[in-house]
Amino acid sequence: MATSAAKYTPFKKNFLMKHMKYPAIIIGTGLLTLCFKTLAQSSVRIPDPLQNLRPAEIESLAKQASSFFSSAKPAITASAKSTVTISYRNNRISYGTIVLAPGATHPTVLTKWSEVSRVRHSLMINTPDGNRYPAKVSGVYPDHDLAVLSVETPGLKLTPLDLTASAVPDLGNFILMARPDGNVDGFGVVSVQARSLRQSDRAYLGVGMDFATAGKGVSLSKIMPDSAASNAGLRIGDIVLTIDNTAITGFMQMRSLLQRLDPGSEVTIRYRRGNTEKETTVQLGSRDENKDARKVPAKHMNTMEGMGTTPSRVRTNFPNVIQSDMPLQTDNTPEDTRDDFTNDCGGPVVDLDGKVIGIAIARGSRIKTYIIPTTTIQSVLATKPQPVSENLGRRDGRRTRQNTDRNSRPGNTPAEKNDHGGRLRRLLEEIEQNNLENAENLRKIKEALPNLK
Amino acid sequence: MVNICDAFPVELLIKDIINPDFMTPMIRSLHFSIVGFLSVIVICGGQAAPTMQSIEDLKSVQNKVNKVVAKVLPATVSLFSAKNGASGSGVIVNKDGLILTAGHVVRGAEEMTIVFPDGKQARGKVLGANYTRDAAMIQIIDKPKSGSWPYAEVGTSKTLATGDLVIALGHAGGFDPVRTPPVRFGRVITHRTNKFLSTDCTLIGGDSGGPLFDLDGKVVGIHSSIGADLTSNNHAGIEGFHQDWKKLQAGETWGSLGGSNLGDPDAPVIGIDAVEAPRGGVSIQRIYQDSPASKADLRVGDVIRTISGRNIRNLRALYAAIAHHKSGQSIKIRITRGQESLFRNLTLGRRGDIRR
Repeated sequence: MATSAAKYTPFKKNFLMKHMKYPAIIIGTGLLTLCFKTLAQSSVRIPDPLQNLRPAEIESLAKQASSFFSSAKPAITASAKSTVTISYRNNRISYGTIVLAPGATHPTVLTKWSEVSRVRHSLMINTPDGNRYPAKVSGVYPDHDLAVLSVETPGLKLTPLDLTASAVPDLGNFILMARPDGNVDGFGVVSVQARSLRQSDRAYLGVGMDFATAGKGVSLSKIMPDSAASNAGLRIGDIVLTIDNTAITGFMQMRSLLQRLDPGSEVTIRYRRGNTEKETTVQLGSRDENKDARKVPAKHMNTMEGMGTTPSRVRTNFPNVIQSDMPLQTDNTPEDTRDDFTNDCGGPVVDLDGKVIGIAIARGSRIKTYIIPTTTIQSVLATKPQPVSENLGRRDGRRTRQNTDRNSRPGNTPAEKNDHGGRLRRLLEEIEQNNLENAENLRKIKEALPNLK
Repeated sequence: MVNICDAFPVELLIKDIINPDFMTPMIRSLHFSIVGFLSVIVICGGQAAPTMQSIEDLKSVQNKVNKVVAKVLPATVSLFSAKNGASGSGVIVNKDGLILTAGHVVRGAEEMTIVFPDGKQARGKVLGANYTRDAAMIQIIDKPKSGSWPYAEVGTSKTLATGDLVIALGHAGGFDPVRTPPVRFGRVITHRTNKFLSTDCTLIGGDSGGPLFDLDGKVVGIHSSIGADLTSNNHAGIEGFHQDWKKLQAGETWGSLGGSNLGDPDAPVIGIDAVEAPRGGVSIQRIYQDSPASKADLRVGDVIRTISGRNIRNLRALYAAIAHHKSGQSIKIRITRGQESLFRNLTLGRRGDIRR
């Protein structure tokens, strides 16, 4: 359910503002009659269905939402005790989950690294009992975008989350996120079971396939150099009939079959070349992160991803995550620049029995939130985190919110208000990021040049 | 509003812009009080949204969601046309492989490839479409191996009320081999506009044509478009399909998307991009090659003032003025170019004929 108790409150005061703030939403690009580039200045607004309801209906929707949240409260009682808020200069940044790593004597706090990295030098954690303690980042698991915070206050008691009381949920199961005050912060369902978001975890044969679906088999239209396919001697025009005895009936099916296999695994491919049928064994490679298939979302897809939500900066390439439709709240007071970095990542997510499903790690788009499953958290905690260094971290995502210009203006983040060093560091990061992007673009252009006629 | 088909540009539905209801500025307060309300999952007085009273209530709803998802997920298919790049989702509604989808998903395609969540493929023939209701049908032409395609039953959207709990499936972002179509849960927000209903089951590109289910697992809507908020996800109500069933199945195609525009290749266009000029009128930003605008010697920077006598104060007025005509019809357009005021006669073209 795309709602949360807190979601509706800002609606009240920010209603008009919200609509002014998302001019890009009402941009129609490329449409032939017109382009609605300046709708923010005109009076035209995109309708909100809530506007069309009678007050009684709106009230009943609100009551319904609150009934879901209040009924679910017993399930989060335990996890709320292990949830902290993480703040910087009195502004909440993220949530955190108190854990006890195997063999450790003191509990630590896991949170979203990319959200705390810029202000990591003066973080505080706010415990469920209402106390605040200084915390520092003692290590990082960059693949998972997790930071380990340690609190060195003598005598401090933190209640670690019981990761053994965990569950692997069914599709459609209700899941909840706690606030430290014992209220439910987020409600959603399991949308997709745990999976890797990394292309490199998908097997790669290295062929182009013919779109035609008629008849048996799939004709190869392209063989990538140095790929598994070329090593195995496959050629353009070969018709793949079976892979490991599964009949191939179309390119989508073949693609799906291959992508579900592990890189490095061997498959037997039966194919027809001219009038003869042949068989070959191929060791599959792994898909290249940069090379293909991870389609850069089309421009309008990008727009849609940020409609009604603020996607996290780091939101892709997780090695293992559950997908949920739980809306993670981010920056719910757009007029207030102080909380631009506020997000709901880092807290524990539980099912209706209070069993731990995992830790919320990213808002992916308007339809999805990613959660690192408990089993993954356990295996991550069994390994040593990397020490913090200046360049550690992933910058594979950016906020796609419509008006990032305000966010990207220096001096608006909590870190930068009074922190010149932070501001310079941030600028440096931005320059580095731009350099990376330029290099990547250059590479793409060079790649594309020989193909141009 | 944005059409959520992958292959589509961001689009705006004219009917929503010119509907005065939508233009009324409203600031409503939504107070949140935790009230222990009357009983559970029962619709109070036929009006109030079903509320939850305990974890057990939530669990009983959750069980329904689990069951529905397990049953209907295999029938939630991804659709694409290798020929024209159209793509989206759909749902199979009988054992012979009849598929319901959105009108804008099939536009222009005669055949579509059907991809099941497990990656298997089948071929489909596009039947009819009612673009006004964004409704279309496709028939799988291959024979199912087991004698029956997986399918979901069709329900009714007539009795749906604000607050009714619903489940959305669809191949969001396009078909992904390592992922089943994402499950989304929510409730009906409104279902008043032109056989469309909106829910807070969040949708995105690729979901178009995908199914909305009630808690019995019956199809009650087909995903159509989204708006700015998480509560603005629009579905063509199944009632519209019921009314047009025979025509759609017989292969008839009629209506126009959003009442005027969008993917409808027959929609009237003049072939420009425009922005609103600071002192009224609409300023031309781009002229498409070989378009009616270029043939009539309109130029970038020209400001459109009237069309066939109607004042064009803003984009909305321009859009409405064009939408009142059909492609092939002539319009008289008054523009200002610098200090000059000029008249041009222009024959409206078809959207499908404009090269981008």
